[in-house]
Amino acid sequence: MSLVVKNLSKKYGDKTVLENLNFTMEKPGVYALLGTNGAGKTTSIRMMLGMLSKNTGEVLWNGKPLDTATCNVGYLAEERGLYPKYALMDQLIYFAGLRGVSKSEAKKRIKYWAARLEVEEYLYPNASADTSDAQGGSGNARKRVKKNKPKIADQLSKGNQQKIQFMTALISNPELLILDEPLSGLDPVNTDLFKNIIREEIAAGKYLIMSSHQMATVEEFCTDITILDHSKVVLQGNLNDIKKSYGRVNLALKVEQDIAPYIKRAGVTLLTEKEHEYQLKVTGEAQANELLSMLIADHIPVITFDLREPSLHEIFVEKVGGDAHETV
Amino acid sequence: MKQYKEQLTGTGMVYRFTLQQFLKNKANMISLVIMILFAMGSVPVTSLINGGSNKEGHSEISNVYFSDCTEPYALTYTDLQNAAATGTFWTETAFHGTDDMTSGEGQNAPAPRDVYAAITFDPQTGMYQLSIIAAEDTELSDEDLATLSTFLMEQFDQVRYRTLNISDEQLAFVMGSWESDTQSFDSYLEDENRFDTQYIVQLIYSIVVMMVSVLSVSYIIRTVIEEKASKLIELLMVSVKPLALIVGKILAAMTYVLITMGGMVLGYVLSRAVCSQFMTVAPLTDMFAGGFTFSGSLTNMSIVFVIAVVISLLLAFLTFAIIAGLSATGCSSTEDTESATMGVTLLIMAGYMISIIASSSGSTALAYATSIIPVVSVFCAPIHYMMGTVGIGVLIVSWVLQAAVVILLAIFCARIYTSLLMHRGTRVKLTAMLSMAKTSSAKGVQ
Repeated sequence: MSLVVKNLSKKYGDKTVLENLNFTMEKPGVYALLGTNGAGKTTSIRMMLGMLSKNTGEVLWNGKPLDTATCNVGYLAEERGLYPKYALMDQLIYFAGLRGVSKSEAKKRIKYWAARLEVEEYLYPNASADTSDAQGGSGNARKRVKKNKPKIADQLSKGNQQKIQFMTALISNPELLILDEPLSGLDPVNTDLFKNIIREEIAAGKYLIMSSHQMATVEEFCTDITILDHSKVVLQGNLNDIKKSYGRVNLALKVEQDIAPYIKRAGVTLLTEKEHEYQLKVTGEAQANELLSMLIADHIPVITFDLREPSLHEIFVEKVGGDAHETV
Repeated sequence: MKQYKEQLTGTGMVYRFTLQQFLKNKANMISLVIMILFAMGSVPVTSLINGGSNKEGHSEISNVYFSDCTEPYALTYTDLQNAAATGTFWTETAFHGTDDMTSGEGQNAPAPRDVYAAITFDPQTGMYQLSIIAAEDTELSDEDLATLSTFLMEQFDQVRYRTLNISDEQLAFVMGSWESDTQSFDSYLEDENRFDTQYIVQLIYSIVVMMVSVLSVSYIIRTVIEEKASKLIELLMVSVKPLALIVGKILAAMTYVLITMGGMVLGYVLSRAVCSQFMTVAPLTDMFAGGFTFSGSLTNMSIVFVIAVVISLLLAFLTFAIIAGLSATGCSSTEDTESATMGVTLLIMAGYMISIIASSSGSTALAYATSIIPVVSVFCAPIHYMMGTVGIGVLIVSWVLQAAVVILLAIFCARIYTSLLMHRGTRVKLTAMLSMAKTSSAKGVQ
């Protein structure tokens, strides 16, 4: 299986909202679409899924145009939505049915994902009462069971609604999973819950496309990235290769005294300093080693010397400049 | 064909889910119950307004004490009993001779449901006189007494004629009843009776079309806007094509309106069945045919009329449903529901009003025009055809034109529906929709 995005462009009148997006996923993994707000990430996803018309380009899945008929797609949209007044179970069965999942199979999968995402109490409100009733519950307990109606979306918190929406994306056991800002608005516990599921999907050999502002998360999961800025691709490729191309230029140095004169003498850029912990930017390994040699020569004890590649966050900020202020 | 099949994949699922949610909606259920109660209540209310008596087809008079003092004709109470036995109206009324009265009874007032009746002859004036005496506290209506009066006079006349030894045919000939009608010369020339009939039939049919259309439109608009406002469109469009989404909703709204109408009809029929046990309820055929002068028999008219009505109603429904779908899809929030509904409702009301005005004018040219012009024709064509104002050819032409409008609307809808679904912001106006369709057509993108 493979996903090919070729020359994807979109214009609204004279305004270009996406210009020549190209990328390929030859094997399962996670591909990240990054960019500032309005850079064209969501537009790209909508075009890939056929929701928006393309001015140019094509999207192929196994050599055929990507379509609901050719590919089992799971999609967590940036605009989260559920029917506010309908029973959650009805909605999930409906969404599963639209993806070709039978009602009985859908019920099994809903049960599984409800347990995984810890939303059983909203989908099976009588389950715990049933258990106690089966174990000899009183008449009052039986009355309580009658009162517990299945929840509707309006009664759920934003985070729990997001879990239900994630279930709708996963319920058809998709080959291609597109997640637009999957972790935004989640608390740390639920973020970990989502991350674990994403890891499992990766391990199961799924193709994932992820759009996110959380660079640490992208770095954690993604193998390949595209950074969009003002509708244009400004950086693209394998994340490790990109990082390598920048070289090891970030130096974290911890000592027991002020070393500002040494830094100045070595021509190294000081980024931050806090209680003799320095974050420095070097031009390469040679400059870092020169600074280290000076410190050793003057018998200055070095506690930490960590020379590493730039983070995705730094790369992103460098590429999109001032527009990156909204990233996390 | 294959392309359309793909576009419609999932329609059944959308249809079932939408209908299920329509039926689960409490507001819809309350509306349905109110409508059924309204239909049920209309039977006793209209019967009472029309002066319905307490029991269908039976006189309320218990006993008639009769004497004929006009020798030699001598109509006896046994003649009355025999005549009464030929029908059902007098089955609960007993006819007696004055001999049956107990001593002194004739001097006393009759019982509240009894009457004394006597026929006498005045030689001075040469006139017969029928006297019917009821109690001061009688429970009988004027209508009951008038019916008895007519019955007694008819029977007396029959006895008079029979004494001349005339045959049954001759009797039927001389006893033939009268119906009088007084009208002006202008009305006579205009065939006013037929005109009134057309107006009433047009009014009833237009109200039905308007009800079906307005109900359907409101359900479609509500469900489409609810989906868009809930930001579900992207999630749905991954699984189902926009065409299937709108077709499923239109069919669900149609089914729900049919259920509503069916419920009202069922409520009406049940109410009639129950009410007929207690009061006079005109037969259904009388309701539809009463006072009307259809050229054909009611049965023949019904078959043709039902087919014409079903086709016209279907075309009306499709036309307004597609327009409603487009109007609603151009909205982004529930605040736009009113404005989206307003436009389509005004269009329906315009069709309704034109049909009523055209019918009341009585102009044949206007009848032809309103039978052919799309949108208005769904209100007018079947009625004009049924009344014989236009022929079957005009009716078919009106259907073809209306079907063409539906197809054009469907093509227009297919071109811009995806763009409208993805639209966010202020409500899309018609000019913007036309612009979208033009752009879509130029790009060949759907």
